[in-house]
Amino acid sequence: MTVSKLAVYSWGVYTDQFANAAALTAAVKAQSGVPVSLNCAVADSAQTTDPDLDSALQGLDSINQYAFRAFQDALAGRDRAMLNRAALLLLSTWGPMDNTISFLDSMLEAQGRYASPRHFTRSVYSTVASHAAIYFNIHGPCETLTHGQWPVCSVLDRAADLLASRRVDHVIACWADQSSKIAEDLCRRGVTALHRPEFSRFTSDQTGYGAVALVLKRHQDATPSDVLLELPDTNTGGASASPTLNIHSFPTDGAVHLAAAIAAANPVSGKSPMCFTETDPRGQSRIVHVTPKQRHPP
Amino acid sequence: MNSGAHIKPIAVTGIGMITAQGNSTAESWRGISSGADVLKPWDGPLPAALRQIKVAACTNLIRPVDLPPRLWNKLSRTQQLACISTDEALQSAGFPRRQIATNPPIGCFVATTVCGMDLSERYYQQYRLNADAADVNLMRRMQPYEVLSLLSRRHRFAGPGYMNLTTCVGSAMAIGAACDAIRAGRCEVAVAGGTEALCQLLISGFNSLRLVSPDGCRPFDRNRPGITVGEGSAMLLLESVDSARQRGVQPVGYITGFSATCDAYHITKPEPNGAAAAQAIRQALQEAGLTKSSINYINAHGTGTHDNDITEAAALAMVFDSSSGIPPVSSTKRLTGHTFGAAGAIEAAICILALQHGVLPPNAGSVDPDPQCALPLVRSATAKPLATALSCNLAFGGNNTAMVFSRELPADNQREADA
Repeated sequence: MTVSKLAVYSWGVYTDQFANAAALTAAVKAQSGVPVSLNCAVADSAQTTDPDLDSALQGLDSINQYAFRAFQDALAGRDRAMLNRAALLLLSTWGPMDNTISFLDSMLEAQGRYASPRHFTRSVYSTVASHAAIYFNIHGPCETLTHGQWPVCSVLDRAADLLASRRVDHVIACWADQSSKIAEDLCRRGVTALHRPEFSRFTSDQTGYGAVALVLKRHQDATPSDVLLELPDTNTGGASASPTLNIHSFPTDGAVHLAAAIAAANPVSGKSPMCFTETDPRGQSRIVHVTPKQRHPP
Repeated sequence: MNSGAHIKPIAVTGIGMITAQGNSTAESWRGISSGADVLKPWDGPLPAALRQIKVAACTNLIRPVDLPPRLWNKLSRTQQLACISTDEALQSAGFPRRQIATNPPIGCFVATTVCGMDLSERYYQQYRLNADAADVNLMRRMQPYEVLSLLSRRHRFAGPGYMNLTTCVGSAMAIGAACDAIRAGRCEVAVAGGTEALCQLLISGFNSLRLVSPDGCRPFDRNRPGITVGEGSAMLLLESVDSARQRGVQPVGYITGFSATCDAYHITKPEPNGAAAAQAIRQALQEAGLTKSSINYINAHGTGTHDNDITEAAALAMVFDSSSGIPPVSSTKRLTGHTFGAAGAIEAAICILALQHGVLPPNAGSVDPDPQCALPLVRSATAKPLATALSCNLAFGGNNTAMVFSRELPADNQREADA
C-alpha cells in the first residue's frame, strides 16, 4: 500500500463565504465541532489591500481572480524564496468555460471571419495556471489537471510524487472553479435528459465557486507548526475514529472541506486530528488523515 | 558517457499510435520515417475561409470489435482515437483488453486539450438556434475527464487516474507523472499518453492567432509560415523494470529522465532566450545520469512558428554548446501535424521507434534552414545506430518538458536488476 504523506506549509481560500483562511478558520471555530455546512459561491465581494495584485487582476477572468487571491492568501507573510523550487498543480472542472463559449460565438458569426483570438487564448484551461506562474514567478512544473475520480486526493497524490522526485521542494496545489451561466444551463439540460450524476454539480444546492490553495512540502521537512496529511491509496469507506468531513467529488467544494479540516486540526491549539473523506460518483471513498505535527506519532 | 543514473528507469513495453500517417504504430512509423506527405484540407465543418487549410487528419478509423456501432458513434473523436491507441498499446505489451482481478492494477495517465469539442461545438450550434431542440447527446462527452473515464471503464484499469490539460506538453507531463507514480509504488504498470481530434475550435482558434500555415508547416525553415493542425493519439505501456522482467517481456525502450519547467514570461509567447526550456533539458539529462554528449538524437517540438523555433533552437544551443555539439535534430510536426495534447506522447513514441529501428526521422518541410536557428537538421531519413534520444515540448503559457529515452537498460541499473 502506498501512503501519500505531505506537510501543509500554508494555505489560502477565496470564496464568497470565506474571503481568506482566517475567515474559514473563524467559521470552523465558531461551530466548535465538525463543520458540515461550508458551501461556497461566487467570490466577487471580498477586498484585498494589495494594489499590485488588484492591478494584475484587471482584465483577467473570474477564475484567475479566485486562484490569484487564494494564492495570495496562502503566501501572505511567507518567504517567497521558496517559490524558486516550487511546482504548481491547478485543477478545475470547467476551466475558463465562458471564454470557450465566447470564442464559439465569434467563430460561428460572420463565417468565422471575426473569430476572437483573445477569447481563444483565454479558453485554454492551462492559461489560469500560466497567468499565476507569471505573476508569482514560478518556474517549476506547472500542471493543469481536471476532474478525475477523486479530484482532491489525486492532486495530493501527484504533489507527493513530485516532492518525492526531488525536482521541487514545494508544491502549490490549487482547485479553482468559476461561475458560468452557460455551463450551468448546458449541464442542467444534460442532467435532465441524460441523468448524468457527474453533472449534478450544477443542479445541487452546494455549487462551489472560488479557489483553495495549499502550499505543500515533504512530510519529513515538517516543522511543529505544520499540519500533516496522510492518504492511503486504498478505498477506506470512511471508517475512522476521528471526526470526518465527507465530500462528493466536486473539486472546489471538496478542497474547501479539506481546508476546513486543516483549520480544525490546528497545530497551535493542538486540536484533535481530523479526517477528510472524498467519495467518487460510484461511492468509492478515500480518506485523508489531517493531524497537527505536534500530535503526530514520531 | 554515463555519469550514473540518478533515478530508476521505467520500461516501455508497449506502444499504441494512430496518426495521419496510419492507424497503427507500424503504419505511422513507416510514413514518418519515410517523410510521407499526407496533408490535405479537412473534410469536416469549417467556415469557407478556412476550408483550403491543409491539416494532418487520421483516416478510416477502425472500430474496435468490442465497441458496437451504437456506442462507437456516440463517442467523441478524441475518445475514439484514444480507444484505438490504447488497444494497441495493451496488445503489444501482452495485456488483455479487459483487465481481470489477477492482473496488476494499471494506472491511466492521459492528456487532451479539446476532448469532446467536435461534438460539443455541434451541440452549441444547435443550442444557439433553439436551445430546447438541441441534441443533448452531443454534449455527453464535453468534459475532458470523459476520456479517462471511458478508458478506465472499458479496460477495467484499477490503478491511479490522472487527466492533464496542459496543452502541447500535456501528454509528456502525463508520461512523466506515470513514471513518478510507478517509482512511488502506486502501480507497477500504467498506460500513459494523449489524444486529440480535429475540430472547428482548434483550426479556427489557431487561425485567429495567425499561426496556421495553409500549406503545411516548415519547422526551422527561414520562411516558416506557422503550424499544421493535426490529430492523433499515442499511448505508452509503462512498467517498472522488475514488472517487465517478472512478466518475461522485452521492453522496447526505457524512459530514463524527465523534467518540466515554466518560463513564467508570457501567456502565449515563449521566453526568447530559451532559459527555462534549457533548464528542463539539463534536469532531464541529470535524472538520466547522462552527459550532453551522450544524446544521439533530438526530437524537437519544432512547431514551425517563428517564436517557438527561435526559442527552442536557443535552448538547445544553450545546453549543447560548442564543446559537445548539438546532436541531429528533427521536428516531425510536418508529418503528424501539431496534435497539441497528444504531441508529447506521439513524439515520445517516435523517439523510441527511432532507437529501435536505428533511423533518424526527417525534419520534413524545411527547404531553406533558418541560420538564426542553426541546428543540425536531419534533412532526410538516415540510418544510424542510436542508443539515446531526447524529446522536447513547449506549450502555451511557457510550459516546457524534456524526456530522455534509452534503447537499453543503463549499465548501472542492469547490474542492480541482475543483483
